[in-house]
Order: sequence, then structure tokens, then C-alpha cells
Amino acid sequence: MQHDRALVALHAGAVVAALTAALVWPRAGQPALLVPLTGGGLDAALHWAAREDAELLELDTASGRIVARMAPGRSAASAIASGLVPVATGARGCATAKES
Amino acid sequence: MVVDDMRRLRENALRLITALACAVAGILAVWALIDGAPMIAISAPLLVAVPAWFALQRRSDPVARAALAVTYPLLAALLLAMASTTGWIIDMHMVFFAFLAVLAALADWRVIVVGTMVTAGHHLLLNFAAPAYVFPDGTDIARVLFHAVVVLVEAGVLIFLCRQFEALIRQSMAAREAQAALDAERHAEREAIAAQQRIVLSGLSERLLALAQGDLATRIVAPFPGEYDQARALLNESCTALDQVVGVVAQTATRVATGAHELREASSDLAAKTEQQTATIDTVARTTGAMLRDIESDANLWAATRNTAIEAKADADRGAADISGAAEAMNRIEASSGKIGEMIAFIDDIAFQTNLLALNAGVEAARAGEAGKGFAVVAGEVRELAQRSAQSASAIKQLVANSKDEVALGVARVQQLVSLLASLVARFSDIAEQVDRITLGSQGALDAVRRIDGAMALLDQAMQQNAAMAEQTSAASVELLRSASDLTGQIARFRRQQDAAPTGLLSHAA
Repeated sequence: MQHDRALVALHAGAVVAALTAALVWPRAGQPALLVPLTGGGLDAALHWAAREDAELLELDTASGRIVARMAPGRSAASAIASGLVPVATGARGCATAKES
Repeated sequence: MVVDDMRRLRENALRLITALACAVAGILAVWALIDGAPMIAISAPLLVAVPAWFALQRRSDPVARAALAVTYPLLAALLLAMASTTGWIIDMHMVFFAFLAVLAALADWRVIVVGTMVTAGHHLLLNFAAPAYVFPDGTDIARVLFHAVVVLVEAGVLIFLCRQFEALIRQSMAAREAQAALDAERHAEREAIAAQQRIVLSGLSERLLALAQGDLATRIVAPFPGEYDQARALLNESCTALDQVVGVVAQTATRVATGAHELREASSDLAAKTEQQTATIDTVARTTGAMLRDIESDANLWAATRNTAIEAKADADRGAADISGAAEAMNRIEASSGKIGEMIAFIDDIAFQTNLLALNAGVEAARAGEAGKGFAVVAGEVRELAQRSAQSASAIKQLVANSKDEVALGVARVQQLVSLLASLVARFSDIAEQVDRITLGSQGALDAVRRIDGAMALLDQAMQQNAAMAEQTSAASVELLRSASDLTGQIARFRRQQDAAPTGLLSHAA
């Protein structure tokens, strides 16, 4: 039973990871909400976007919300290394993309 | 033991579709690594790790099925995510339907429900969180609803099929389990019967072994289970009957032995007496043979005598005929003698006349003197001749008279002889008849003696056969005596109830 619980927990982790990868992990060329984890805040996000050639789609300095489109051929993994959590975002980005 | 078909089916299906999931995860990992999606490259293998473990453990329990039910839609979601930057995003939706159908291989409607819920949740979440991952044109609730309807219809059909399939297999299993239960019940019945049979066989074997060792006294007391007790009763009855039979046989064997002993003695006596009688009969047969030969010799002698008598009679007949002829000849001689006497009387008369003439001639010659002297001499001579003729005639007459007398005597003697011969012929006839009767009687005696001789031969043969039979009987009586002794010895092996102690009882459980 203990063994099963561990396996179920492991699978639950895998499910979460998969859902995360499928739902919130931004793919190259897709808009991503950059959530800073460290104290770098907005600056770190802007630096990362500039370094990764990510197109800024939304910038709200008041709330600190930054939405950037991942450059093609680039991975969002580098954002993690910069203390940012890239979260795939939707409507407005899509609308923006349509508009653009 | 009924094999759980459902478990085996799900176990095999789980292994198969887990292998498929692993393949998809591998493709995803490679694709993600190439396309710079490390999260997907990590999460895809991680997602199939636990189901793969379950498959390796050959598990198909609800936990393993639920894990796979969750895994497949997420694999489709990862594929969709990978395809989101390609033009295949709409086409990749087909994978959801395909994977949902693949899950039907587990024959569990709950898996379909879980997969459907995960798919629906994924689409709903993605529609709001990352609509670009779902549809190329962004969020579209109508499209989501359309897809949801399609998924629900497919899920409904798959759930129906799974339930049907599951029910079918359950029924099959129930039938097999019922059959297995029936088999088990039958097996238990057979085991119970076998146990009873072992008890019965043990009791019967023990009793039969004792019976084989000659124990007729013991009985099986403890009852056998069920209908087998009838066998115990029958065996006990058989033993009782056999005990009685052996008793009767023992008595019979004793009587046979006694009888065989007496028979042997009687046969020996009979053989000795038969031998004596055979010797006696042989002697009698030889005597009868000798007597037969004597009688045959006598018969032959009597036959010769008869022939001799017949021949003598014939001779006497012929002698009588000859004597009759002689008598007739004598009669004729007598008649001739009479005629001769007449002739002699005539001659004597002539001689007398002649004498008278001669006397006259002499008288005349004497008168004639001289001239008559010669004549006187002739007359004297004639007279002398006449006298001598007279004398001769007298002598002849006397002789004829004597001859006549002799002939008459001879005739009388001949008549006597004829009478004697006639008497002799009659006696010879009598003798011949008597000899015939004697011969006939001898023939009868001969036949009787021959029959006696034949009977004696048969009697001798019979006595020899009797002797042989007596020897055979003696040998048979010896063999019978030996057999009776052997039988008595064999019967002595048996321990009979009348010889046994009152505790001669068997228990089948002993």
C-alpha cells in the first residue's frame, strides 16, 4: 500500500509536470507571462527579454506584468535561470498576435 | 481454479498500450529535446514511468488502469502542445480520440470516463490558459463544445462497449466459475467417494488377505459407509457360506479318502480274484477247446460210422439181393433136381425095360441055341448095361434126392440168410439212424461247446478287461486317495469359524 501511494504520488507529480508543460509552459513563438521569483523584478524580466530577443507584448509597470513572445528557436528554460517563471498566456496575446 | 479472464485481458491490454504509451513518450521526448521543450522532454517519460512500472509488475488493478487513463490524454496533450507551433495542431486532436479508443482496450468504462474527464479538463483549462495550444486560432468555446460533444459521444459508445464487453466476460467467467464450482463439487464428491472407497478397500483388502491366508472365521464387524455396507454384509455372508462349503468339503474329503482307501483294497482284491478267475477261465477255455476238439473228432468218427453203417446197409441190401438170387437159383436147382429125378426115373424105367428086354433077348437067344449065343452075349451085355444104368440111375436118383434135400436145406438156409440179412439191413438202418441222431446230437453238442468256447473266450477277454479295469480302478483309487489327502491338506489351511476363538472379528478401520 505504501509502495502504491508512492507510485501514485510520483505519477501525480508527473501529471502535474505534464499539465504544466502542456498548459503553462510557453513554447517558442508563443506569448509568456514572465513571473519574477527573485528580487530582480521587472528589470530582470526586461533584461531576459532583451537577451532572448523576446518580443514584449504587454508591459504594466504598475502591476509588474510582463508578457513577452518567445523568440523562435529559443527555450523558456533560460527564463528559469534568470529567476523568471514563464507562464503561457492567452487571449490578449492571441489577439495581439492576430492584430500584429 | 478459474482463470480470471478479465484480469488477464486487462493485464495484456495494459502491457500493450503501456508499451504504446512508452513509444509515444519516447517520440515526445526526442521531439521536445529537438524542439527545445525540456519540460515536455522530462514530463513525457516521467508520465509513463509509473504505468510502465505497473505493466512490468503485470498489474491491471484499478490504480494501474487509472494511471494509464490519466496518462494517455496527457500524452495527447503533450503532443498537442508540441504541435502547437506547427500546422498540425488541429490534426493532432485526432490523437485524443484515438487514445481514448486505445483505452477501451482495458475494457473498463471507468477508464474511459477518467480519460474523457482528463481530455475535457485539459481542453477547458487550455482554452482559457493557453488557447493557442488548443486551436490555432485561439480560444473558441464553440469549438471546445463541439469537440466535447464528439468526445462525449465517443466516450459514451466506448463506455457502452466496455460495459458490454465487461458484462460478457463476467458472464463467461461466471459460467466458468460455476463450472469450476461444479467441478470442485464433483471433485469433492469424488474425493469423498474415494475416501469411502479407501475405507471399504482397506477393510475388504484386509479381509480378503485373511481369506487368502485361509481365515474363514473372521468377519468384518464395523459397518462400511453408505451403500458399501452391503458389500461387507455380502462378504460376510460369502465367508459364512464358504466356511460351510469348506466344512462340507472337508467332510466329503474325509469320506472320499475313506472310500478311496476301501476302493483301493476292494480293487486289489478284485484284481487278485480277477486274476484267479482269469486263470481258471483260461484253464476252462483250454479244457473246452480240448473237449471241442474231442467232440469234433467224435463227430467226425460218428459221421464215418454213419457212412460205414450206410455202406454196410447198402452191402447188406446188395447181399440180400444176391442171396435172394441164390435162393431163386436154389429153387431153380430144386426144380431142376425134380426134373432130373423124373428124367432119372424115366432112365431107370428105360433101364428096367432094357433089362427086361435083355432078359427076353437072352431067353430067346438061349432058345435059338448056338445061333443065339452071340445074341445071348449081347443080350447079357445089354442087360448088364441096363442093370448098370439102373444102378447108375438109382445112384443118380439117390444123389439127386440127396441133392434135392441139400438144395432144400440150402434154400431153407438161404431163406434164413435172407431173413437174417433183412434183419441185418433193418438193424443197419437203425444203426444209421441212431448214428444220424448221435451225429446230430454231437453237432448240437459241438455247437454248444463252440458257443461255450466262444463264451469262454469272451469271458476270458472280459476278465482280462476286468483285470485291467481293476488295475486302473486301483490306480485311480490310489490317485483319489492322494487327491483326497491333498484336499484334506488344503482344507487344513483354512481356519474355520468353529475352530476360531469368539474374538475372530475384524474392523475395517483396524
